[in-house]
Parts: sequence; C-alpha cells; structure tokens
Amino acid sequence: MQTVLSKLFRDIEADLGTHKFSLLVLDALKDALLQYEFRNSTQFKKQLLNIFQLLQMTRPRYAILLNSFYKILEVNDKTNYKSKISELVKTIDRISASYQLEKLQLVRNAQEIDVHNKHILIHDQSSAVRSTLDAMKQQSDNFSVIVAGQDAEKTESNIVFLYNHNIDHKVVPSHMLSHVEKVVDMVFLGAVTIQQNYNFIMDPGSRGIISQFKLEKKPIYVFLTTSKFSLWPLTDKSQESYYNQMQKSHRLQQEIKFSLLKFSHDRVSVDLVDYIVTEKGIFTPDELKDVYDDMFKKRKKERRKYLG
Amino acid sequence: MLSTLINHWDIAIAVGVFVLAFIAIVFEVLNKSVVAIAGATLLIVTRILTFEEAVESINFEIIALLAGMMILVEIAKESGLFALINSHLASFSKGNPFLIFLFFMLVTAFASAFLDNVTTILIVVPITIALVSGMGYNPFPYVIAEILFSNIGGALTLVGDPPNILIGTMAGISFNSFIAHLSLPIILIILLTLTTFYVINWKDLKPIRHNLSKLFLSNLLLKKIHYQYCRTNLNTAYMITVATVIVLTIIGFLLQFIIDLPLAVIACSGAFLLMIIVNKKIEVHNVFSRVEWPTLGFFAGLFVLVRGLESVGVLEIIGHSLIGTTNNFALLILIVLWSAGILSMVVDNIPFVTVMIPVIFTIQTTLGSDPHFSLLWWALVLGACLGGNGTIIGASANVIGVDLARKHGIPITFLSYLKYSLPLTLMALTVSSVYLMVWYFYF
Repeated sequence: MQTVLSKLFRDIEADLGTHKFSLLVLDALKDALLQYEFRNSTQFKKQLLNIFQLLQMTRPRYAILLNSFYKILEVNDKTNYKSKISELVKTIDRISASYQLEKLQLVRNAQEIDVHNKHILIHDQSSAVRSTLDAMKQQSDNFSVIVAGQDAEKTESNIVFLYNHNIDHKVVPSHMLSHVEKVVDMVFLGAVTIQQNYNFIMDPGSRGIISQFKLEKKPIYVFLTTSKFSLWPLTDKSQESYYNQMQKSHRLQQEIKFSLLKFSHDRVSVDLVDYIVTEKGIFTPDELKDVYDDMFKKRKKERRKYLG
Repeated sequence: MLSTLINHWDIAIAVGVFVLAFIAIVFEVLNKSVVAIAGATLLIVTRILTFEEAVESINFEIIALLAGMMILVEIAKESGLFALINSHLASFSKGNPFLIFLFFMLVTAFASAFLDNVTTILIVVPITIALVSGMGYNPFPYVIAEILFSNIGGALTLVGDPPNILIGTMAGISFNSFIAHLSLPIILIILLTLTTFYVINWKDLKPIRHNLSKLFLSNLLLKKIHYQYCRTNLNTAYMITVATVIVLTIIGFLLQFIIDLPLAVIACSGAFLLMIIVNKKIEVHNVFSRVEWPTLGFFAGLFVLVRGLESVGVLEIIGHSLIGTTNNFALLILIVLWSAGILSMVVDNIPFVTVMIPVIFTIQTTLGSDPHFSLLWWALVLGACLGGNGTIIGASANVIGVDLARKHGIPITFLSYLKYSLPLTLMALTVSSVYLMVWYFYF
C-alpha cells in the first residue's frame, strides 16, 4: 500500500501542485472517516496511526500532510468515542480552511513586491504564485509574465491560467532562456517544501533557472507557506531522487530505442534564492532558517509523543 | 453422369472454400475480413455463384444496422458521455470493492445489451484496472468478470451481439421478443455468476467500511479520477444531445412493432439525426473512418460463403442429418444449444451462426408447425452468445479484453482465463438448458 500511495501522491501533486494536492488528500481522508464504521476507540486510533505511518513512509514525504496529521491525532486523543468522527471531520475542515487563509495571507504579503512595468519569469504551476499574480493584476499592476516552457501539460496549464486572468504573457522554452536574461526582471517560483538542510524541493528544472538568473543578479522569489516545511530530521532516504524510467522510440526511426528518465523534483539550496514569501512575511534566506529552526524544535516534542 | 460429377465438384468447391476460410479465421492466418471476402470472390470466380447471386445473398439490413450503431457509439465516445458514466460510477461506489465490482459488472452487462461488446470492454476495462490496481487490488478477476458479463449481457437484446443481429433479422424476431424471452435466463445467469465471483474472491471483494486506510486510498483514487475527468473540458449540451438521440434510438427499437420499420432504418435514422444535430462538433470524415468497415466486409463475405453452401445443397444435408439424429424435439433443442455453445467456445460464433440459420430454416421446413419451434432460435442465441465466454478466443470481446489487460501489465493466459470461464460457461449453458426445457414441457 505504501508504494501505491507514494505513486498516487506523486502523480496528484505533479498534476495539481502541492496546495490543491494537500486539500484533495484531506478531503479524501474526510470522506473515508464519514464512510468508516466505528467499532471502538482503540481500533480506530490504531487505524489512524496506520495512515500516519503510511504518510511517514511515502517517497517523498509531504510535510503539509504530516503537519495536518499531528493536529488530527491531537484532536483524536482529546475527544470521546461518541463525537470522535464528527470532531475529526470538523478538524479537517478547519485545517483546510486554515491552509486557504495561510495562502491568502501569503498573497497579501506578496503585494509588497514592486512589479510595476516588470517582466516576471515563472516556471512551475505553483498555486501561490498564480494567486499572487492574479491579485497583482486585480490591483491593475502593469506587468508581464514570461513562462519558461517545460512539460507541455504544465506549460499549457500556465498559459490557460494567464489567458483566463488576462495577464500579458509570452512563452520561452526553458533551454532558450539565455536569450531573455536581460529582459527578465524577477523570478517567481513555488516550492513543495524545505528540508532540514535548508534545501527547497521544487519542480524539476527550477534549479537550472535559479542558477542561471542568480548569475544575472535578478531577484529570485520562492513562494511557500510554513505549513509545508518538512519538520523532521533529514535521512539518506529523504535526499533520494525519484524518477520514472520509460522506454521510448525515436520519433521517426522507430528501431532506435532509448531510456527516458523523468525526475520528480529538484533540490535547491535556500542560499541560492533572494527572498522567500510566506504567510508570516517575506524573509531573506538567513531569516527563514531561523523560522524553520523554531518550528523544528516545537515539532520535535510532538514527534516524540506519537512516534516515540 | 457428367451432371452428377459437376454437381459433386460444385459441392467440393463450396465446402472446400468454406472450410479453408473457416480454418484461416479460427487460426487467424490472415485478417478475417480479407479471408471472408477472398472466399466469396473465389466462389464467384469458380462460378458456384454468379455476381448477382452473391450480392443478393448479402443481408444489407444487418450491415446497415451495424454501421448505424457504430456511428452512434463513436459519436457518444467522442462526446465524453462514456467517461462521464464511468466517473459517476466510480463515485457512487465510494471506493468500496464490493460495490465497485457490482456496479461495473452490472453496467458492463447492461451496456453490452445495447452497445457492441467490444466497445463496452474498451470503455470499462481501462478504468476498472486504473481504479482497482490503484487501490492495491488485483484487477485480474475484475477484467475476466467484465469479459464474461459483456457476453452475457450481449445475449439479452437483438443489438447486443452480432449473432443476435443475424438471428433476429434473418428469422424476423423483434427487439422486444428478445428481451421478453431472454430476460429470465440472463438475469439468473448474471446472479449466479456474480455470486460465484463473490464467493471465490471474497477476500478482495468484501466491503471495507472497517478499514480506514483502504477507505482513504479508495477515496483518494476516486478524487483523482474525478479531477482528471473534470479537466477534459466536456461539453454538457453536446453530451445531453448524444444521450437523448441514443435513448430515442433504443425507444425506437422497443417500439418497432408500432413504427413498423426495420431496425436498420431506426439505427441509421438515429445515427444520421445525431450527425446532423452535432455536425459542428464532429469531424464527419473521422466518424465515418472509425466505422469498422473490415467487420462489415467480414459479414458480407460470410453471407456469400454460406450462400455458396446453400446453393449446392450442403445446408439441406446438414439440416436433415441433424433432424435424423433424433425424433425428440426437446433433445434437438439441447443439441442446438450445446453444439452452438461448445463450438462457440473455440470458433468465432458469427460464422457458426451464419451457417446454422439456414440449417434451422431447413429443420423448420421439415418439422412444419411445432408450436415450440421458436425454442430452436433461442437455443441458438443462448448457445452462441454464452458459449463465446468459454475460452479466450471464443468472442472478440474476450480477445480485446485480454489484450487491454496485458497492455496494463496484467497477463491473462489461456489457462488462467479457462479456470474461471469454463465452469461458469457450463453453468450458464446448464441454466439455459433448464430454462428451455421448462418452457418446452410446461408452457
């Protein structure tokens, strides 16, 4: 089940982005709770912890889900068996609402960035970046977007978003960005999480773009809510790369076969970016490290309680 | 003397061409449409039939009925109607394997009754595999059951399976008559087959309401299926139009006794009405190109091959020999049922039925007015459709279903299929035998 869940998570996250993915997973958990036939508290807790352990074992681990689960386990411990399911469902609703609020706050904080007459480079399908662009457009800021082309589906999804929100945009394939280095004024990217070694987990291709525009001294902003922070010690496994290997044929010469490796994420040091936009404010890399360390310490206690 | 020799020579050519074509079709030496049309041409070249006789022997009502249904199904597929049904089906099941199995099997049986079995399998198998394997279960029994249910459901109506179209149109049996006479045995067979699958696979099919992890995984998968479906940019008005025309066509089939038009006219009216209404949404060239012309050619060729046998008197000989085996009409019904069933397990049931139809007409001429004569037609329908389930090569839906499963990494071998299919097919034929005998002796 762990392998099935890992693959399913990776697929959904790649399709929807981390924010929608986490809301969808929470919604699935809520539906599961509503369909569950409750027998006794001990068995129920065992099953809840079983899901928690499954979430601990998925590759990669999704911090936002684990963070939510700590809250769910806490409520489970506090409520009696009669109101358990309804309380847990309410908690999940509250968590989902709080993630929406966090994102709204992040977008509000991002309004401080001056984008007037600027060219903004985007690459991934980050929902935080999109919401920010949407809010900026609504404030009638005059800016334009350059989409760094990547997987057709993701690029098209960005184009559809920009078109629907009437935001001026152009698409440049990622490997041709050197020709627009001078035009780009700033880079907006989303991240899946940040780990204990202060590396962001980002969409594949992000590392190349960040390195390229770091050289050009263009400000690089990463958008990430703190609920997505990976607040557990780093292990060798949590630094592994995940990829799909597919057997492909040459488009015209079908007899030529080759292996195509598609990686799920990039790892990028926080020091390579200039600003991190969160719901708690806009931070420099050093400031963010302090925020992360504080949260990590608090989580350590909770981890001991549920995982020993 | 010379004329006798010429007559025998004719029989030898007609039988030889038919047997060679039959073998080539069974062993898939060449594409079956090419074989049937080549055989038909050979009969004309060897002057067993004239060109005019060959053309006259083709039943264009069947060809037009098939073409009309193919156009309707193709447009329905393009509109996303089938994807919508699948997505809702998955949601209704709430990820419960017990319900997933029940819903998918019943929908497969029901859809097969009105759509081509191969189309039904092409629609339901991929989504079942995605759903079931995504939940961590083995989709193997699901795929096998879907193949079996597509053939069982297909037996219920005149348009459900090609042998039924052949029998219905050539014997003049109405659409409603099929449903009225076959509902009881088909429902019984569906219930028994469902129960057998539940008993054998209870471990995987039992409800999961006490297992939170499985419920969570199932719901997650359902949400994935739902958002994938929502992203396909479907047009509701288009789907409603398609669904309305399909329903109207089916109502037309049901009311054929009032409308008094051939089924082919009703099907083609539906197809062309739909093409006119949605002409801006479809690429007419694409729709026509997706009609399975080779299948229609296969039917045309087969009609000519059988006419060849008929013209030299072979079918009359088979009919007389069949009647000669027994004086007992009840036994004759069982002989038709079981010979159709057993032969359909190993050979394509379409050529078999094409040969058997004139044979049954010959029996009718000989036996005259037995009040239970129609039972021979129902025996042929049940035998040919249900027997097709017997082996992996018994029907086109089986071959397509197994191919689809293989493509999704679920190997189904001849024997692993046979383990399920043979006992269940024998059970279905036994139920049919009991039904026909009860009807013969008590009604």
